[in-house]
Amino acid sequence: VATLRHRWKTAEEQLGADVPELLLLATHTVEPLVPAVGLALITRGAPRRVSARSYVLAPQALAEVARSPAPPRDVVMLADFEGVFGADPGDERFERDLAQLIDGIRGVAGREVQMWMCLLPPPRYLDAADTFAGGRLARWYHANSEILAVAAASARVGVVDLPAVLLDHDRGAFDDRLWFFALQPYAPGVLEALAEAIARRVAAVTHVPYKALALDCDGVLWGGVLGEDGPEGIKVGDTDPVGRAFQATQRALLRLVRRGVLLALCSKNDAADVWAIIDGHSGMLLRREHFSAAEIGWQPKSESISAIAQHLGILPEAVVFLDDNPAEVAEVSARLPECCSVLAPQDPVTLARFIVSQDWFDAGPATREDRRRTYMMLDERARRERSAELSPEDYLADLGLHVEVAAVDEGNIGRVVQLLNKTNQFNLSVHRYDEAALRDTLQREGWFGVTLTVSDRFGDYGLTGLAIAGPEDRALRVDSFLMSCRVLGRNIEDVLLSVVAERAEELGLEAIRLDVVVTDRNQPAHEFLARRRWPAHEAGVHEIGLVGAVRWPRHVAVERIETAV
Amino acid sequence: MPDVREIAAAVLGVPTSDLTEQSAPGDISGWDSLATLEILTEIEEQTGVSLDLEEIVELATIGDWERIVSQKLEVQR
Repeated sequence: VATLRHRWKTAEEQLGADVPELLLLATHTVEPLVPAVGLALITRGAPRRVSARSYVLAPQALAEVARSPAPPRDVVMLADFEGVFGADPGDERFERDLAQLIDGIRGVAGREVQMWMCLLPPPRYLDAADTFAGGRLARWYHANSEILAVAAASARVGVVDLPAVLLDHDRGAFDDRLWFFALQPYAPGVLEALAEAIARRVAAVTHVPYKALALDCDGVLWGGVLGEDGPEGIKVGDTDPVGRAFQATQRALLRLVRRGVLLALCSKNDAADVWAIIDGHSGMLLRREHFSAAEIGWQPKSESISAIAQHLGILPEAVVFLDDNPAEVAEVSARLPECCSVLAPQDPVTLARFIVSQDWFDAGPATREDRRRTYMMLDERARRERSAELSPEDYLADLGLHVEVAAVDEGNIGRVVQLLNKTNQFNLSVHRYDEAALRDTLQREGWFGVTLTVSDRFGDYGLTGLAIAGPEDRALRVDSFLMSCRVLGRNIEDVLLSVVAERAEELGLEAIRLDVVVTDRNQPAHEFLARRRWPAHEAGVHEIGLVGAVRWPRHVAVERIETAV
Repeated sequence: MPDVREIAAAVLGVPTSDLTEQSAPGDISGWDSLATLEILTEIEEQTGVSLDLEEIVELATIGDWERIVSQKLEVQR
């Protein structure tokens, strides 16, 4: 770069007074590009004086050019996804920023300026979840197709295909010999990476994900050793190069939280010191509310992991433990071999990419319930504390339970299928469905699905109750009747059965026939029948009368949501 | 140096002794254009040489492969 810069300096001095200006704008550092662009333009017979402005806000910088009394001949805008939309834009932010960017491009092109917009490079640290609805992948393509559309509409807007430049860099990705020889476009190394990417996506659908990630602090969440360097020596945040790497790591971890992964702290430190950083350090992205459990102290980490698992109500085999100290990883591997113990890379630069490259938490698309799981755990903690203070009846009354009754529709069918396939305990028939089979069933004459979405004053449980039923002779055949274990012990199942009985009555039917299957895990569902004095200790169809079925619990407020069919 | 004949035999799934200098795609069952592609990729990866398209197209027998690879390695030294 030094020699390039030197050559450009010499060449620039020899440019005539009438040579037009080209302005490079970028949301990142762009000065190193100036000599190469200047020299390449001279070689191609289109010399320009090249100026550059780094770290701009794209719409504002473009608006400034549009207002300028003497704008440059050419403007080249380079933006990275994060520089325009932030790291994880929501719908609203994305739409607004995209509209502003497009307006900015149009504004510049309205002057006598040739606008060159570089298509955006892919978002950083893409992972499997980004391929789903609301993920960054669709946003990236959408943004680039909008840029292409504005270019198509105006001769003064051109695009530079920056993603293709990245792909084709050093001819690394494509092997033209193999293309001409065998019509096989990619280099062998790329084939392996492509195969990995395809396999990971395909396998994710049936992969059983871990549920929690237990994290060491020093060297994993931040740079520095808290116990030795003190809070001032901790590196995390965008003012320090190493701090940026750890902030990128935390951003990757935060995405995991949003997907429903439970984070836990597992650190040998003074607890007060760790919480002071988490609550108070300005560079931290992960805060107290993102951690569902914490074991901070001098006990062996295997004991901490066991305690974390117990606290979260999961088994150690559902926990990934990440630490940068080989001794700690070895200790946990030896004493808790069922836990997935992983040595974190020592170089913080590679940490974020390391985390997103792992398939620990790969699964199908996240439902709203998955995304809220961390917050549900916190709600549950508050409930547990309250229940210790009250009698069972007073506790139920105190919860302020609220149930929304709604039909199965397009908005909730993903969650309904998930519930049908995941619920083992309170599930009378354990009929499993894929989405297509469920749609078929619901299209049968008179058949319906009813869902319960439960909340209380501590928080939401999400869509946690479901029945699928349809008429058969003079009775209502209940094919599936199930509740998520999150809401057991709150008499919500009485609400579900009452709703079903009500529907049977509306349809002019006289009885309910419940499909019952006995598995080694669905005891809670059988206990429900036993409590209501309906014997059901064997598999088959169990018929009950409508009158006995209806029992609205007094401590639950029921609201019916009308959905257009 | 990795042996061209051994690489080819491994890709084609035949004993190395089955391949002679005259062995060519027509003689060995399973030696189709995809196998050629795989032999090429393996040889390039293991020896560090790189063949031009025209060189690849000219290759007929195992002897041709051996000659071009040793020539290339000679030049590299």
